[in-house]
Amino acid sequence: MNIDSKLSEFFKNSDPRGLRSLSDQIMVEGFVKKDKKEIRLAVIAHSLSIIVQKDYYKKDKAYWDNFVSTLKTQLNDSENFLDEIEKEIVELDGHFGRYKENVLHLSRIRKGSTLYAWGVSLTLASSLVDVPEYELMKQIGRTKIVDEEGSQTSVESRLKVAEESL
Amino acid sequence: MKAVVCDSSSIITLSSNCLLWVFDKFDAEFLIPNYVKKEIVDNPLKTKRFAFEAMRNSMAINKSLKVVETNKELLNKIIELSNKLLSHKGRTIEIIQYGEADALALAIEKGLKTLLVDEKNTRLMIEDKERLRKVIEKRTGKSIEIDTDVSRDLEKMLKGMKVIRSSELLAIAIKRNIIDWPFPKREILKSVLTSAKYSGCAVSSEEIHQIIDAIEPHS
Repeated sequence: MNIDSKLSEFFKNSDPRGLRSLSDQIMVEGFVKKDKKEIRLAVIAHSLSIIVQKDYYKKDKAYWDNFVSTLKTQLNDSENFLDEIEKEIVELDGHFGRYKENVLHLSRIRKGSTLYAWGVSLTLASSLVDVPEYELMKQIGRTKIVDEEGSQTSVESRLKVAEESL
Repeated sequence: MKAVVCDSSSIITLSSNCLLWVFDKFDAEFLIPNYVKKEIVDNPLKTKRFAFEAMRNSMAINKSLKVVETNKELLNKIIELSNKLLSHKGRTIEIIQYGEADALALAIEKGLKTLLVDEKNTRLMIEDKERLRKVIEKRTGKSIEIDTDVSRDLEKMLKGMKVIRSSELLAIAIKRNIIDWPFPKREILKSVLTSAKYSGCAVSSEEIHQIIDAIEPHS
């Protein structure tokens, strides 16, 4: 089964774990292949994993049913499906009053932070997910990325350099 | 006069905490290349959410931060080498972009040895390429190879270069009473370094404790 079919399948089955693990899998491929399209797809899969597990998206049943059926069609047929699905996700959040802080944007920040954790520079991670560096840094600051990695250079020697350079 | 080259991440940390004024209090010049200016002023200025920060940064330009033109050939060489350093099954992995590379180019061109960089990956590329390789390998689960020739060339280009972060800059500012607020020094250090960390400065909690103890030991 190809990635698009898997995505479609997990979405139809409302499987957040499947979608999240697929998102990670696509991200790794996008990262090693330098493929921005795959990174966008990973962001979409991550957004959908959140959408399918939140009940409030399903409060307006008619709107939700329409979203599901539109997405199913787009996942299967559309050529420019990335643009269209992103638009649908943003509109879904807009329907519930979340405009700027929509799930797609939050997923972009999350995935940008993941790319940074993987070793991509801040500027590159920011451009791959189309999120300002400012926003990415705030997210990175909330994570344990740096605490997990440590540093080779001691604090004493870095302070000594600072003392001499400033 | 001493001079330090800054990348965008360190300026973002300081600007997010309204601490850009600290630059003026040191007896050193703080230089940025054009791409960094683009990242801290031109790009965020186009966004609704970060336009104010961009304006604040632009006020520091030509006052606290001096913009310096860099050699494009050198810049492209750094990007080319850095993005050929690591690979997976023969496919090279892109790790840096113009902003970071331009800061490195500026330092090399001017013969400056101190870089102010808050993001961890450019720092790792300068200080410990093998660790960077291991981080990528561990986090992605893919085997990552390092090109030893490229690594040697980069090593040569970046020889003697030292990285400090805004955490060290702020620690020195507190040590020298540049930040001299009416609170115990250890408390100021703890709060300012934690705030820098939360703004994205790649300093670990353990390092924060070590910095506090080094600057203001327990009495």
